[in-house]
Amino acid sequence: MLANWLIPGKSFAALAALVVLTSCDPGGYAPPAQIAMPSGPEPANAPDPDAGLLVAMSDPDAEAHIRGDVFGSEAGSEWRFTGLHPAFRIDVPRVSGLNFYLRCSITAEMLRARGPVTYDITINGNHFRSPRFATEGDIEYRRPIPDGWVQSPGPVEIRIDVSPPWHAGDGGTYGMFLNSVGFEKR
Amino acid sequence: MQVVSILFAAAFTLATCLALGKMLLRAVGAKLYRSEELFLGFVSGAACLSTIVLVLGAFSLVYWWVFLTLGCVALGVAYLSGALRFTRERLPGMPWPWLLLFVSVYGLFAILDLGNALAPEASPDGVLYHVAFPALYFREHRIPAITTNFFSNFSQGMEMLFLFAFSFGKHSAAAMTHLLFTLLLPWGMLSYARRIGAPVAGVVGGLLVFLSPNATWDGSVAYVDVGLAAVVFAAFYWIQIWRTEQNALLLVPAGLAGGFAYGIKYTAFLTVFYALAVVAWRQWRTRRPVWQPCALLLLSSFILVAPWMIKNAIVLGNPVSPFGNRVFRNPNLYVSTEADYRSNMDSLHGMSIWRVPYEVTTRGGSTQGLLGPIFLVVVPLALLAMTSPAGRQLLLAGWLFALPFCFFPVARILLPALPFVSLAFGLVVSRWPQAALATILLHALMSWPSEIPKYADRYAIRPMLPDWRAALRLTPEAEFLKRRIEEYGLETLLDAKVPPGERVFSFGGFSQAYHSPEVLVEWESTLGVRLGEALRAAMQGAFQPTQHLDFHFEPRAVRKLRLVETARGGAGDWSISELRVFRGGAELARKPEWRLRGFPNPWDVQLAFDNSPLTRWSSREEPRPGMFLELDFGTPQSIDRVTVERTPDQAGTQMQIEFESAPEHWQTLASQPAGSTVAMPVRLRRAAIEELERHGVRWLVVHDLYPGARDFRLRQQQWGIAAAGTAGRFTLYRLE
Repeated sequence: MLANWLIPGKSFAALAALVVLTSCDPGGYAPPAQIAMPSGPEPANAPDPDAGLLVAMSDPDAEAHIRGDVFGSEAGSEWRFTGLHPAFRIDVPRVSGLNFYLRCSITAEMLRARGPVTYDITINGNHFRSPRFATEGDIEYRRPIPDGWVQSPGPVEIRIDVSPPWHAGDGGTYGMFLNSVGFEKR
Repeated sequence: MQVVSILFAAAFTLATCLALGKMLLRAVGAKLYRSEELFLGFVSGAACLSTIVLVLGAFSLVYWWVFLTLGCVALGVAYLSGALRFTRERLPGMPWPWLLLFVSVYGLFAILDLGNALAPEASPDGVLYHVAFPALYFREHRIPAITTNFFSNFSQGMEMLFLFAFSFGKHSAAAMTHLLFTLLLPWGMLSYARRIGAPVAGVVGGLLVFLSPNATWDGSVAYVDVGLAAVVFAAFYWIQIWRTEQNALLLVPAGLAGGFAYGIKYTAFLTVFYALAVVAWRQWRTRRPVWQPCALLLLSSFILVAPWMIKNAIVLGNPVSPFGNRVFRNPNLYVSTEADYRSNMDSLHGMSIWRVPYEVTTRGGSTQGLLGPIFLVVVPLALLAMTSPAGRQLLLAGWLFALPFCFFPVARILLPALPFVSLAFGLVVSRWPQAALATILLHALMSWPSEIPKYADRYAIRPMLPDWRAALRLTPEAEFLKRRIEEYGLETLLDAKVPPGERVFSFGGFSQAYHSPEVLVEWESTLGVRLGEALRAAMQGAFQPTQHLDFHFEPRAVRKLRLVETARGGAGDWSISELRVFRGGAELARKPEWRLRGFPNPWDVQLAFDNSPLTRWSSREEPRPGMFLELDFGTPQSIDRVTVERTPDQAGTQMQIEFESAPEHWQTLASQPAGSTVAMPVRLRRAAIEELERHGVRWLVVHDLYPGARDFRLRQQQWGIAAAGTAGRFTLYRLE
């Protein structure tokens, strides 16, 4: 009896039966319970005094902080492409104990096309250069801001010059794939 | 005390495996030499023990006292039957200088491995699943049916041994069990080399593997790859012995080793193919019957393969899950999830293919480890072994077992091929003893942990010098784990805050070995993907059904209608958030007697009829003509309009409405919809949280870099969540 199952034909039949048994269509379903959206207006959120230190591309008011060279995107999208010279204005409530913060992403396609990338960053006219980023993936770059670069609470101008450019397959020229930029408490 | 329990766990696992294995050797009448009995007996017994533990787990018998009884019974029976005794037959002696060299270099690295294995388990995949599952099974005293964790779908042959050891020595006992394979493999290789009359080749080959940085690292943590290499080599060894002895019963342990290899890692299914091919070829060449020995081998393999296939077929509806989801369609894993995983795994991450040999041997940054720079020379020179039959046999096996590297280019995937290539090189270089000696010494020097950073990538996974204070538990385990595992703080937070039985959702995976609550990770299951999309849809326009298609047509009485995709491609997948049917301007209320079907992915069809903008039916495959959603009213209904709500990322798809004009005959009702864009309702964030709650999720883990991290933090009131604690860059939110 057992020997019969050793014949390959039977083994394949058993395997085929397994396939059929495990791939069956569930048949029709009845409509599910209908979902009702929560009622009432959106509740107000508790204010976060440090939220404004940073502009995230997904922020509803991101456009108000973008001075130029950042491309549009789907509402709520967390990532946006920039040109080679994106610029931002951020209202900082404090003048000391700040880190510059940049989060962007380098894809394998970008890396292949242009190699390592460097960011020249200007904050209120003061300039510094980031290290070369030569690996793909999510990048978080932080750098302490020296005292005096931000003289008083209020608007701070940030400009980033990206080199080299990325000439993408769609014919466009891009600088970086940006998530957020600004400052964070040290 | 903890160290004693870990050492006991490893020793008891070794003894139980040996007892079971030696009884098997006796049952099949294997005539082995003394050193072979140790290696082949252990591996054969490990295969048996793994399967027994799986069966016990299926019957909810995962208790330390059950395993203790099992081990004692195995040892008792083996002792009483005389199977425990080792033979007096010894392999031909080997030159003592080489033996001395082998023992001294081996001993030095074995101490290194022991120190690392004894330390609290902190390896990435170890804490993610290799030990996390045994920990879960031990907590629950059974192997539960898990449908929401991608990694639980893999075969877990080695993890069953980890579970056995874990029950006595907890997490580090798993690594110590793996270490048993690591320590025995070089001796197995040496035995084989002595059997074929090339002891120096055994010394060179065994040490090349044992000292390889990737084998040293992997083999002393709770991974499975060096263990797999030992099992694959054992299968090869059995086949070689069978070739010379022609004892058909030797194909039983050979088959068991092949099946066990599959049980450890799917990619090792090649072991069964290899054994079958060699046996069939040998039989055919010598004009002997082919089918009987092949059937015996196949059946023996199947004994260890079948339990994993049956488990997955029953629990997941796919015997080879997480792969093969296009063939074995099931409600637990999307075709797109498998495709994403494959794409991620076989990616060279921007690296040129010509750089791969250098990367996998020397740098190790992109290949999750390195084999050692010496292999840049070893591999090409090993090809010179083609001149001898023994060399050809080794190289054929090495080539075959290296194939999975093409699909998953990381260093540890090459470990099963390494013993064969190393022995082949040993055959070549043993003609020049000085060169062999220089190779070993150079490899040892370059593989010493303090030397590796001098040439390897700083991010390469590599062995470290042991932290003996942690290994001996003079440093508290928690202190060591906090330093080594970024998420350890989160794990303690979860245990402190989340009550038993409450489910946690996370966008990304993290260590699961040191906490109890169940964590649902977004990408790992269909449920996870759906809930993740609901959260994303609350924030991101790309996931919101802002596009409406309106199909108007003359009033017609129909019983069944379909929305059919008519174009190929045009989007990543074809999805419908909501499908509504109208008559005279009023929507037909959905009735319980309606029946909904969809193809592909029929299990999600209700999501297109649930009135939620946050959920959707999706093909989870590239759109193609013939995909459909079907609505059966039960009785003919007069209708004149159908609307489709969908996300905006599928502009290239085309669809039409059809009705069933005769059984299984479909006729077009409308194919030119009017399109419009609509605004989303308010309070989507709260609705998304309620969607999670409907599936038993009560908690949310968000890393600073996860999607929406900032949104969750700044809009807690709108979501209806409250931060319950933070650990490093993780925040734990309670759903309210």
